[in-house]
Amino acid sequence: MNVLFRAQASRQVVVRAALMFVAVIGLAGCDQMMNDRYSLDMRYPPRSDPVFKEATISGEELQYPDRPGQLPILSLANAEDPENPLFKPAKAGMLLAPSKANAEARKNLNESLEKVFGTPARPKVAPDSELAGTLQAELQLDERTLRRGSRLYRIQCLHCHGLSGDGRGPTAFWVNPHPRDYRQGVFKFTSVTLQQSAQKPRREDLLRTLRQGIDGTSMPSFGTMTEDELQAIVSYVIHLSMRGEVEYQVLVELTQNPSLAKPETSVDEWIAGLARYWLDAQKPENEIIPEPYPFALHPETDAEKVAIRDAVRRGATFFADAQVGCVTCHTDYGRNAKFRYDVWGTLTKPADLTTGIYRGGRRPIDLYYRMHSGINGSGMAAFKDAAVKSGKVKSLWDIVKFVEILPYPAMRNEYGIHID
Amino acid sequence: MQKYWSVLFGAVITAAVGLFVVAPFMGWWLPRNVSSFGGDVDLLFYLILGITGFFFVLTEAILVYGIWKFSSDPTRKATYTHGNHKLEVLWTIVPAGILVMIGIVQVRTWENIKYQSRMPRPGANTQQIEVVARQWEWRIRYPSPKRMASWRSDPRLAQDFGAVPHQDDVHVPNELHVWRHQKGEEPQKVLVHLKTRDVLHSMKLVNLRLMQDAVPGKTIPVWFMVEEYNTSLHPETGRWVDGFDPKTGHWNQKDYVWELACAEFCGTRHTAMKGKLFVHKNRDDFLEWLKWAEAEDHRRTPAVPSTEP
Ligand code: HEC
Ligand code: HEC
Ligand SMILES: [Cu+2]
Repeated sequence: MNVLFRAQASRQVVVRAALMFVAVIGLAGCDQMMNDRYSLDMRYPPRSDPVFKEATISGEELQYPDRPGQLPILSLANAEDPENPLFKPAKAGMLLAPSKANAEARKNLNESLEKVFGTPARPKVAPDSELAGTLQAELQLDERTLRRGSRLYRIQCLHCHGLSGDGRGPTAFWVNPHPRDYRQGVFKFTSVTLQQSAQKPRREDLLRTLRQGIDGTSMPSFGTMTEDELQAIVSYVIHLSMRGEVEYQVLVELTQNPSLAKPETSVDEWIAGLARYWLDAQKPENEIIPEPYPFALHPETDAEKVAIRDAVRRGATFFADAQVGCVTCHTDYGRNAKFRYDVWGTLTKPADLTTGIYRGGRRPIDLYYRMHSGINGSGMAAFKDAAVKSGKVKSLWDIVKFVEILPYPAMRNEYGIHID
Repeated sequence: MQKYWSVLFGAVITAAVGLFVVAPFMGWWLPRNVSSFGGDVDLLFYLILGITGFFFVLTEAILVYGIWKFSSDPTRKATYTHGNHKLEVLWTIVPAGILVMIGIVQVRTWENIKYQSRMPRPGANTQQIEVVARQWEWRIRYPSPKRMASWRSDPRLAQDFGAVPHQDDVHVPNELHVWRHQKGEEPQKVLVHLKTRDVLHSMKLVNLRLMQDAVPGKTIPVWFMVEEYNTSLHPETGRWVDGFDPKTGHWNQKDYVWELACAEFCGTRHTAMKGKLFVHKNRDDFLEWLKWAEAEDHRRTPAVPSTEP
């Protein structure tokens, strides 16, 4: 006891306590001042996880669910390992490791990416062409907006979507489905009429995702942030996606041909190509414009109710069509659907339509978009032509109405739909 | 030398007490209370703060005095009170008595806020809202204006709101909209059906002095009544915006932004699990908003929401 209280020791204790106090206060202060800023010499890390040789491997049905903690099964380095239970000979060679590419070429790639896209603290989209001006103006990719977006992204999104938008932030492993990997350039929920390959989201689509979140997944709503902030984040997401997709496309070339010192199509050419897709998606003429909604929101008269009942029945017939209909994937209204791969190499499942939870939004217009163009990357087909051509429905609204009433037992009774 | 430790302790205590004294003037004190029962909660808070503060200062003063007085003489022998029944009974009975007293004093407030028998019944005049917590946001469901109107004509129809969602219900994530109770009116109470879709969460509305855990598998009723409002139609954006101070008519007032936070650690993004409480001036203003929200939530035409009133 006595020893402890010797002046010497007590002075040490005081000094230690004081240091600790200062450290705690200091760290707390730092956190306050620094937490929305990247350090200036931080770089986007070069992509090291495997890339797919072909963008689309989706469609295959599978019973084996992936779990949190096993981020994209196919991307695990050992997916090509025959010992792996998920190994299928057909998949061998599907994945390419970036490390196999020519080291010199990878270094070049990194440098040109940084020249065009900057760093996390100083993001930009500045390709070496007249395109830069158009992009910055029409997609709001100017440096001021991107810098603001980058800071907000760092606070709100990074822990899920990752520094480079790879969908592998610290939280990502623990949530299922895993957060979106922007680097494939594919987004699920769009309102664009273009071909799937060219189908980028409109800014409004990304804004809707941010405002509403993605119900049924861990992606929360950011609706209480201001309009300005959301716009800035959207710009930054587009920046990350463009950067990631350019890197991805060039890496596919480089890994397929490991001796290649220089990719055949340069970074600038890829940007020009992808920028066109992004710009096209924003054009008003490429937005999905549905036929006028044919039903009453709150049906009162008998005629209105009959109109809805007939539509729901037409929708149900199309749904159940064994050849082209929805049951081909949504077995038992989705209650018994099988897992399948999506283009990110993770697993997804045709939605259970009796729950009333829609990832892409529950508004009739959202469901219309889904019926019209499908859900990119997940394998959900587009029905814009098939449905009406089949002669079973008058417009996609019939199917929307049917989907809308499915989760509500009282309404199913009212319209004579029996699912059990 | 060692007696100067007492100076350090004394300084810390004085600083702590000083902090309490200046805090209210620096804006570090309790956030604005706007609920009908918040005053009672605050009263209890002050009572307990007073009691614990008094004993804190008393014991620390004795400690500081003791160090100052006795530590400089290393030869002095300590006196032990171990086994002194009188003393031990005293310091058991006094705190126990205080605890019992606090228990008795608080029971009416607790009863008022938490007893199910005191909750408003679903009916024509009760605002009903379903709040579903999930990692990491609040999913909130409102009855459609039509459903609310049906409760007015037949209050029995209001019974099933918490259990039976309707297709035309209105869903707005993270925004808890209610309307204000004006003194002298019949009570405008809010009944929240609180659920969680995944793990434990806790709904905390500091400005209402209200906190309730959400437990998986349970629907927990929570009630409150708000006596001030913070939300109005913004003349420029044409949206309903909070942060409005009705007394001055100013916008962007920090004091009038009321948070709905999660108060039970629920995963990595627990701290980001935040919504907002929007209190409308009256039922009519709320209904206007609800109609707008319904049109948004059941949108059938493409349009950029931000440009639409
Ligand atoms: C808690 C984790 C989490 C956080 C935080 C998060 N997201 Fe997500 N996000 C997800 C998940 C999971 C998905 C994928 C859902 C799916 O596959 O259906 C997703 C998907 C997306 C998508 C793709 C939508 C589409 O159409 O495919 C975008 C864009 C997006 N998030 C942006 C953001 C932005 C911007 C932020 C920050 C403001 C953010 N996310 C924060 C988990 C998160
Ligand atoms: C080729 C398989 C396939 C077909 C055919 C198909 N779906 Fe899907 N559907 C899916 C998959 C996969 C998902 C889940 C997508 C995701 O979120 O990853 C899905 C999701 C959905 C969703 C949920 C959308 C959301 O926002 O969460 C709805 C609604 C839906 N499908 C309706 C239909 C209807 C109606 C049809 C028929 C007209 C149909 N699907 C046909 C595969 C299919
Ligand atoms: Cu929580």
